[in-house]
Amino acid sequence: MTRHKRRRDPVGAACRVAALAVLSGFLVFTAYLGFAASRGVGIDFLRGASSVAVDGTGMGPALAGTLWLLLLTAVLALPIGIGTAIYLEEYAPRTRVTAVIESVAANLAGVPSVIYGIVGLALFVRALGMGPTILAGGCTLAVLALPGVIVTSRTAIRRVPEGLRLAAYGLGATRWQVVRNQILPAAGSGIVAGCCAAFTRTAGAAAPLLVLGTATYMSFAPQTPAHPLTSLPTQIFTWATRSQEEFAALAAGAAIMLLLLLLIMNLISALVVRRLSGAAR
Amino acid sequence: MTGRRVRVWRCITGSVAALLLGGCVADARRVVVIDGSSSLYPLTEAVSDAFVRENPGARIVVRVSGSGGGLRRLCEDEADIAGASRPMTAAEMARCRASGRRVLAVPVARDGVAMVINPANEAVACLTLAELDRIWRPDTSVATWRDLRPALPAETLRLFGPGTDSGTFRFFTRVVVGRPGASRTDYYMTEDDHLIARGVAGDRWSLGYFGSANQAAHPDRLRMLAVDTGFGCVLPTPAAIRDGRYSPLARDLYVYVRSVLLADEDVFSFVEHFVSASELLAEETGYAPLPAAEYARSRALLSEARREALGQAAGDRDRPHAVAVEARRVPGRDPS
Repeated sequence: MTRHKRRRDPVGAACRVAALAVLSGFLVFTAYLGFAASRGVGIDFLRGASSVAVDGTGMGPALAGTLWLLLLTAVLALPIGIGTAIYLEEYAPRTRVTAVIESVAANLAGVPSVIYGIVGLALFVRALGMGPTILAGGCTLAVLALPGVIVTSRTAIRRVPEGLRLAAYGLGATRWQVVRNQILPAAGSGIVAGCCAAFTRTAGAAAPLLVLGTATYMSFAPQTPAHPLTSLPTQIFTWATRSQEEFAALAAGAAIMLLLLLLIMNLISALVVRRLSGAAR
Repeated sequence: MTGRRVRVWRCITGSVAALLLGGCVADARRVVVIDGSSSLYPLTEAVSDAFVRENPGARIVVRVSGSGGGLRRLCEDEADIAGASRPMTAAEMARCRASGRRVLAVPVARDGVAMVINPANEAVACLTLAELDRIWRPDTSVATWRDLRPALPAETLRLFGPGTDSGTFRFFTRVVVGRPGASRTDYYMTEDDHLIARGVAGDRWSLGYFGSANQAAHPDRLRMLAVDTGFGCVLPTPAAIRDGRYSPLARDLYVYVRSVLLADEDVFSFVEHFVSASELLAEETGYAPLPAAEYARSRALLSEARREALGQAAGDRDRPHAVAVEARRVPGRDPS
């Protein structure tokens, strides 16, 4: 694009301004959080349990809770979600049932997360008797992540060129061999990127977990899925709504931790995507 | 897929499975779950903190869902201990017994229902019980401060208070309006006392009420109103709560525990610690301690209940129940 053309391009200029605004907005926001957190957050904050006194309180339990929730969500939602996507795209005949499954999955992706919390409370906490535990939270978040995983995985699988499939079948490959050796490697980067997006949504979800019932005070970091539910987003909520000003710093500190966690997840997914797309070519 | 990659995947799935399995098996120490009253929360938090310092590795979890919510969860096995700012009602007790669960009430401290206003509102310092009734009754005609007293400014009275699951709500409506649960509804209702505090601190002409201990957390952002209960205008200070001058609006706070759980070492020592620590911590967290004899009686009651629970756990079912919970008279009956 030449210089001359760019100058006459008001839409492009507007887009550049918008991008800069987003970037600077994010920087200002992070700086504000950092400033707020710098008053009253020390090393102990990473390890300590939530407690009465502002000093000595920490987000150890909440951080451990969020890591557990991410692990459970991954273990539950990824196999089911990617499996469903492969089934719908590669195996299922185009019948009315699959059409219904498709539209349900697509519509569920837009349902507000608090609705999933109510479902989780009725189903996992009450009906299945899990109580307000990490396990119930993980199951709820897995259900929350599922539609996103299915929709993005399907999109990635659908983008695999039809010629690749036909060529493999032409060489006598079975359906599973086609999926395993052709489709998954080719669609892998798209699936990983999509799943990561679905994951970051669940990692930051506070509303569904608050509905399940989270701990206000917790003296220990959860070590098994059977332990009571706690997480970074709900801990941020608890601290942010406390009426003593000092807790605002703790909320900001936990918010930065959550941002860092999401950043690390996105970095890992970007690395995986790069490797996979390199391998496919 | 190359052999190396297969090995990596096996390693990942294997360690995830081991982590999940191992986690479930290694759960040795009992998690003690306390749910319930927000009025009792500051004391619960202080007591739990002290307990964890003295017993490193103890696993305590506190949730806040109001006295009603806590007692309901106690009888549904979702909590081991419930904090309550009112005695259990007969209906709640019946529901709990119907499912075969017996509970023990342990009084731990007293507090008052504090009326709070914004510090910028200097026009009013004291309200009578009759005035509170006029503000909060369901058929109220009080919309501005002037409706209450002609001398006050004609500013809209913005109200903040606890929601219907709160023990404070039932207590306040019973004492002030005369019927538990009877209240105007056009106010900001929440089970979260912090939101009431924030609401009142942010609005010059507001009025709110909650357990007096919560006020101790922010003395400069809220102002307590004195209440004329017939003894002149009295502030809900620990001293006034203890000697009865704040009496119609002062109440006992309890922890309820399921009797069978007292057989568990962690639950028993926590409840016992709650009683002993309350005696020391009540005053500094904004409550009034109970008379010392009351704590001694609670301790005796607890160890008796523990002996019985241990006897039952050992299969000694013929022994008559030493502690009949229902027989324990709790002051301040709730007629519903």
